[in-house]
Amino acid sequence: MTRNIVHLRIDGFPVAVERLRDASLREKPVVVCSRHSPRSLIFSASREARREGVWEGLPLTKALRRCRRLTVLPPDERSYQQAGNQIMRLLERYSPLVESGPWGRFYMDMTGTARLFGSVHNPTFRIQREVANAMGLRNTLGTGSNKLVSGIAARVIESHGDLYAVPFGSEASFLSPLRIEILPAAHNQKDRTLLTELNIRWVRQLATLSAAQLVSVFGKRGILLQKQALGIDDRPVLPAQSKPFVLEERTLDSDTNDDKRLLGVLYGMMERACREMRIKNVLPRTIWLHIRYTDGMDITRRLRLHDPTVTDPLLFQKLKPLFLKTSFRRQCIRYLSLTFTDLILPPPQLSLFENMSQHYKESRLISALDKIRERYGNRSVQMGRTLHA
Amino acid sequence: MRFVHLHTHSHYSFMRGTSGLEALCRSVLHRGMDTVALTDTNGLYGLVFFLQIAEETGLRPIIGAEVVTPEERAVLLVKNKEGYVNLCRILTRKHCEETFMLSRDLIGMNQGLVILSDTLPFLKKLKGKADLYVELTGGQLNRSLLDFSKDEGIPPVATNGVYFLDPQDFHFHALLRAIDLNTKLSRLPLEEMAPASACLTTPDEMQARFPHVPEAFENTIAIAEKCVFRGDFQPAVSPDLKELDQGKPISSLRRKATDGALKRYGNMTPAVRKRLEYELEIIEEKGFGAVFLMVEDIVRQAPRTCGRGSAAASMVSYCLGITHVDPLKHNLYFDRFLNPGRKDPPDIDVDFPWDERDDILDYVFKKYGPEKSAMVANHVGFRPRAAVREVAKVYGLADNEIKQVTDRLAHLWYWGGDSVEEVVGHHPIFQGLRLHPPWPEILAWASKLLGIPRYLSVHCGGVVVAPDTLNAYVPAEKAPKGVRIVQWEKEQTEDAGLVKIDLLGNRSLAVIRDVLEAIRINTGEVIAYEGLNPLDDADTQKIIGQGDTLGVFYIESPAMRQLQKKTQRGDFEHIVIHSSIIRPAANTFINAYVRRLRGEPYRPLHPILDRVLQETYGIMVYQEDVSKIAIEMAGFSVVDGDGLRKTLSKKRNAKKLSIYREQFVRGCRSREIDMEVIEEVWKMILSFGGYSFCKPHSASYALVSFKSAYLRAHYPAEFMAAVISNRGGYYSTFAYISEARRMGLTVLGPDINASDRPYGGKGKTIRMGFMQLKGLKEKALDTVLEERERAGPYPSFENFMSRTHLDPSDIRIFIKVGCLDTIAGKRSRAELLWQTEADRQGQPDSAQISLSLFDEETVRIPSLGHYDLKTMLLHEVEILGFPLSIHPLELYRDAWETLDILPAREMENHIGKRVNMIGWWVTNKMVYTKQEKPMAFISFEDTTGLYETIFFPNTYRKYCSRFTPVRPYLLRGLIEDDLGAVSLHVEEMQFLGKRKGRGMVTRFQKLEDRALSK
Repeated sequence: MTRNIVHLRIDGFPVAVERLRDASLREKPVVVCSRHSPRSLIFSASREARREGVWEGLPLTKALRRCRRLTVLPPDERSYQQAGNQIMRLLERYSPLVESGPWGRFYMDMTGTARLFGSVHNPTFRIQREVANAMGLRNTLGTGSNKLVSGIAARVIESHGDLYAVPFGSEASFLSPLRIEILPAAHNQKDRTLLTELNIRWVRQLATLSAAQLVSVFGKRGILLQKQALGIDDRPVLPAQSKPFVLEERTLDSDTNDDKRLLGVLYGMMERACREMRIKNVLPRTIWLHIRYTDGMDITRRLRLHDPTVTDPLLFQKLKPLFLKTSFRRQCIRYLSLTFTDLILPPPQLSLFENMSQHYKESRLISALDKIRERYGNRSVQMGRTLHA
Repeated sequence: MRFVHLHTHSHYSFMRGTSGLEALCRSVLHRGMDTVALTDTNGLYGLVFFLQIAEETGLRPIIGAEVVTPEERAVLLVKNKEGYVNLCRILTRKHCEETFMLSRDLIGMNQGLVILSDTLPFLKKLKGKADLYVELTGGQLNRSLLDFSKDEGIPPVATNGVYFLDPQDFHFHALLRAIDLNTKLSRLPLEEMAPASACLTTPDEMQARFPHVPEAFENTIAIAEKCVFRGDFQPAVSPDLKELDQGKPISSLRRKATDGALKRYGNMTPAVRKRLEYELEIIEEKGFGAVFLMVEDIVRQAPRTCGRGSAAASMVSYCLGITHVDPLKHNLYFDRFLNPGRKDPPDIDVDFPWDERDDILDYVFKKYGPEKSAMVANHVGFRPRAAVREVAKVYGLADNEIKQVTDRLAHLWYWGGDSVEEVVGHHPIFQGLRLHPPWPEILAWASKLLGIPRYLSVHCGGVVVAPDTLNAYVPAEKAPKGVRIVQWEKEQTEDAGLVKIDLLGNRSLAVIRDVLEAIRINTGEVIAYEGLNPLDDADTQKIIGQGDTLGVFYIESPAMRQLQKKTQRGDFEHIVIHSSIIRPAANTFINAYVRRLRGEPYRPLHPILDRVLQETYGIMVYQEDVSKIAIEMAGFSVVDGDGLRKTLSKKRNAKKLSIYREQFVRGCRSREIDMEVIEEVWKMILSFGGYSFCKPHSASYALVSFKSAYLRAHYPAEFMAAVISNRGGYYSTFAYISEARRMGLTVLGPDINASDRPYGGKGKTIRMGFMQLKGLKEKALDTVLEERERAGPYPSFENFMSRTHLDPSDIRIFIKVGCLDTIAGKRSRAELLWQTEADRQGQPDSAQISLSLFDEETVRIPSLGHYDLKTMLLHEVEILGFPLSIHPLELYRDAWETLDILPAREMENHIGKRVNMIGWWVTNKMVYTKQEKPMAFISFEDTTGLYETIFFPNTYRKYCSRFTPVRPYLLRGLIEDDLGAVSLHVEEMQFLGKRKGRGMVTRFQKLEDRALSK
């Protein structure tokens, strides 16, 4: 059966969301970028900013040199998430199969909804209008028989508020005049270099080659290349499934490589997470520590806990070596996040012998702290190490 | 109350100690002590300087070292000569023998040493067998050590393990440790650092730290009194050579010199005989005969050499074949080389072709053995770029941010001794660069790091040969490369009186060798190196006089070629002058020289100057002019004159120089010379600071310049090919290729059947060699060449593939750069690549899906067509490092075609006019004006020629931060003629076109960055 996949794309999503909050930002070069450090990279840029040569990934100092009247906004990931959720709810009215990709990209499977909404064009125009009017987010829409084609269709549209429908059967002819870089299969740096060296630059060139030919040079990936060149894509639209987790993250006011300060920050983050888990009455089986360095390099390490605990000092004994192992570079650290997953309910009975007295003392102390904080606020009592964090 | 620090580190405890020797000695005196032991970690790296400074400041030095192994640690102090030799031996063993164990090796070698340690097992082992003390460091209340001392009857001694002068220097120490251990400050392990109290304490402070063991405090004095050896090196080396000499050497030297003279001159004229006798007499008296014989023996191992330095003034060296310039004919004075008053052994330095030098070194080490011979070390210190980079890394900054600063520093080849902060703060190249915290801190630290030694490396050619064992004079180590090196660098080695010979690699000698060989193969004509003396060849003189000397040894730099153009002189005598007058501090004199040479009348500062400097138009050119003038004007003795010359070339010379200045002024005044004149002349003398040359050296080099210029004039293709193949000239390969084209040669790309490893030249063409292909594995190239040698050329692609079985990554390189075009048949490069990739996938282990899935016959190579020009150029840049098919400026033709552009070859017809020119960066040189303002000379080329430009301070300030070697320039300015040298005085600069072909530019950039950082 022919599928109907719709792709909704909001270019520069973070900037678009910021503009919703502050109308005066419209028609101006705006970027989202954490301002705390002159070394920050641009996270999202408006069209006006791009026209001045300011793109995602450019260092802020350089961006300011290129465009002096640039407005710089700090990232507010929570509100982007909210806006994304709002769009999801809107889209879910039309189809149960909605998938949220990176910021501002959504796929929905409209197959079999014709009886409900009429032909696919009908609802897509409505969606576009609703997102544009109700939410005020200008967007582009692509439709096609699969995710690949609808995604590319939405991308090649020049101006906002347009829609590109690729009729079933014309996928290959839609793709053929485009450059091969548009195909996700050609994003692999090695293959892209090889394609250039083989003098293959356009999708149409790729499309004339047989699967056998492509496999003879690209191996297994050749099949994917050939499929994509012909506009074939079987991936289903997958609605997000969420597992419970507890997340604490922190972007530092100024980058640092001072272990003392970093451990203080980490302790504070862990304290808050532990408190949340104590309130929810869960224990974590797994900790994920994510570090981002000044130069943008990310490192994530995981730790499995054999005897899960939410008692701050005990957990920190495990967390500290994990941090020291993870932060092996000399470079300053900009961002830290701690995620606690595989949450389980605490066993009803505390272990009788293991470290009983110490554990007992520590947990009494922590619950006393919890009470004080509940009454007088989070900052009423602090561990010394978190003072300068 | 007296106290002596017996455990003190200077910055020669690499990356641990923070203080220089001068500061250390002065601080010791300042804190009220008159003696100090220098005990650097595992070495005597700064010993000679330490002794010199101690003498200057009136401090009593004690020689010592701290020996540290993973298990043991002890401070060894030298009591007498025997102790010094033992210390050198112990240190050598520590560095060279894996089985080294301090306590065991010390048992037989502790005579003359005082040993302090706090390692208990170590002390127990040596108890009763050595002059032993228990070291109590820093006043820590270490009961067990003290008890041990009492129980075992080993006396205690108080030290402070000094690593820095003042308490606040602890941070600096920590920074050094963090850099050394490649970590950050907050993660520095405590055991890797000295305690914060390890500063240079006063006696009072030390007493306060040891109230409980007064004898430990008093013992320092007792030990200091035992250590009386002051390292009297001077007579240590020469007498032994003299002993050697009393037997055969002088007579066999005499015989060899006479034989050589007959060969060189045909017959013994009285002048030759007289000079030879005079020289031999002095050599005999000084006992240096053995040195000459040694060098003669080494030189005999290679057919092509070039003696450098003052040795070329000696007829004995000329007759022995060590040097090749006739000292009689060219008026070279022997006194500069050896004079009756000279105490230290003479320098005899020889150049060898760079690729033959390692064999020569092997020969020397084999002949004299590791006991007697080693290479001189380099103390590699922090230079501005490394200092900034290392500190910034400890601070955790991102690489690209560090590069913003260090890349700019790379452009500043000349460093006027300023701090990094000043340069970054004031130099125009840093304009517009905003430096946020923590940069100010980083730059401040980097300034402190400048000049601090980091580690030892091998000096590029210095070899030390000792008459008995080298170990008796200086400890040796093994360099990472495997050769043995002494712990001193050049200056200390010389000052300690060791016999040092510089055997240096010289690329031009290899160029000459390769050209002669190519001529033999191409034409059958055999030219011998020694017989090639084209001093009177008209064509050679012509190109030298015109400055058409790119690639020619020693006279190819822009400054030199401009000087040639100004003087229009191509004769030997003038080239000798020119090779000497081009030196950093002599700019003002060069123009005076040119004007005088062109006949402009001038009034000499003083008649004496005119007489002494007759052959150089009254201008001081050669190093020895300094001595001559000091002798003539101020009545210096020959020894003092030579001493003044030597002092000028040393780094730490301020004090000695001021003494010489007084002597000079006094001497001149007594001859009633005006103070003004004295000042002027002294200024001229000072311009010989840094590096300068003596006439024999320049003459020796000029001869090689002539040989290579002759080859350039008569065998241009062979010559340019050899210049590129031997690399390392003043210019980049790309610049030489452009020059070759301007010389009317065709440069062909590499070809699988026609190319060899080096570039080849014949007739009017140069064929690029495989050496230019970057990323090609050495083994692959060997296979290709061996197989071609074995079974002939490759007729087809299939034949090539089946005979060589190369790795696909190597085949790709050959294909992409067009090496296989001639055997590709009708296939394009892309199609060859397809086939290579298909073959790779077809190999059973590399693909999961075998081809059998498909009908094999359907898998044919698709038609992929030829690359467009841009892709081809990208591949050339990627593999060769530069575009070969067209000049990079051609890529921007649409940007400059419509403009009114003056081609470089027509510059001479537009003098005084304001013009537009386009250019591709060739090389640059930054200098400072008299007002200390930076400016630059930059050479550019366009498609018609190479030309020079000047960026005066104002323009330089405006544009220097945008200088890059990889973008096309559009320049506007005035064409000026400065005494015959035409250049463009730039007023405006911009880049042509947008950043088109960005991929190419960035790749080119990376390559250039690497070249710059070399």
